[in-house]
Amino acid sequence: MKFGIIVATHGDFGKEAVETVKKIVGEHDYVSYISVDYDKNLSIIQEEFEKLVNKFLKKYRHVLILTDMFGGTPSNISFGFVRTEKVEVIAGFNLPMLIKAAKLVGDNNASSLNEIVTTLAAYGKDNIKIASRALL
Amino acid sequence: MRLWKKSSSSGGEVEKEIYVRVDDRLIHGQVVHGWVPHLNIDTIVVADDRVASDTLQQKILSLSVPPEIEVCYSSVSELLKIIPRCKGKRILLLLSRVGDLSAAIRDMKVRKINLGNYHPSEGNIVKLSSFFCCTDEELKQLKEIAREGIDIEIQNLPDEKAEKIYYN
Repeated sequence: MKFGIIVATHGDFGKEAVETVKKIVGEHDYVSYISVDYDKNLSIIQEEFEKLVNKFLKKYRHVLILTDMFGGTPSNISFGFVRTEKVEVIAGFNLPMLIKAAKLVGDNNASSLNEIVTTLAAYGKDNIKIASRALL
Repeated sequence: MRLWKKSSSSGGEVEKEIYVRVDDRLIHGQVVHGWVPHLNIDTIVVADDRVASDTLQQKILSLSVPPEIEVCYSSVSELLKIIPRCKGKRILLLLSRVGDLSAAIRDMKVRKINLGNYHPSEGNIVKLSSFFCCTDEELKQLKEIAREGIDIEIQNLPDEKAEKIYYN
C-alpha cells in the first residue's frame, strides 16, 4: 500500500465521516482521523498529528490529509506537514471526495500523490450539486 | 475600544483603533469569520516570536484571510515599530501567550482585552472556562493588567456572553 489517509476536522466530524466511509467501501486501516477540539491544548494536538503522520509514514510511502475547512486549526496544523514531499493536504473535503480517496489509494496501481490530489479536488467540487439545476 | 495615537512625520496625527485578543491558535475560523467582520477589522497584526521567524507558518495563517485585510507578523519586542507602519485603522492584535500581553500593550492605550482559546501545557493550570485555561502565574499577570483599569474578558465569539476577570 502506497498511501495512508488522515481526516482532520473540528470535533468528531472526521470520525463520523470515516465511520460512514467504512460502511460504504469497507473497513480499511489506511484511513484514520484526528478530532480537534477547542478545549484541547494546541501542542498536544500538534503532537497527536505528528504521531499519526509519522506512524503512517512508516507504513505508507505517502500520507494524504483531508481537512474540513481551509484556514481552520486542523487545516493550519496539517498544512505545516507539506515541508515533507511525502505529505499532501486538501482542505475542504466532502464525503464523495473521501470515498473516492479511500477507493483510489486502495488500488494497488494508484498513481502519484500529485495526480491523486488533482483528481480528488476536482471530484469533490463536481459532487456539489444544486437540486433544481441537477434535476429540472 | 482603544486608541493608538502616533504623530506622523508630516505632523498630522494618525489614529488607530486596536483590539487585542489572546488566542493560542492565532488566525483561525473564529477570528476570520467571527471577530474580523464583527469589529470591522482592516488589519490583523500577529505578535508572536515563534511565528515571526517561521515564514511557512505565516503563509499558512494568512491563507484564509480575505485579500482586502492586511496581515502583519512581528515579534513581541518589535511590535511597537510595526503598528505605526500598518496602513489600516482598525487593527486586531493577536497574541498566542498571556505572558506576552504586558510587553505588547505597554505603550498602547488599551481599554479592553479579549481572551479566546488558551490551554497552557505546563504549570499549575486554572480552568476559567471551557476554552480558556491559564497558569496561576498568568492569572496573576492578567489581574495586574486588570488593576490598571483595562477590561479583560473571556469571550470566544462575538455573540457569546463575556466573562470578566477582576483584579481582586
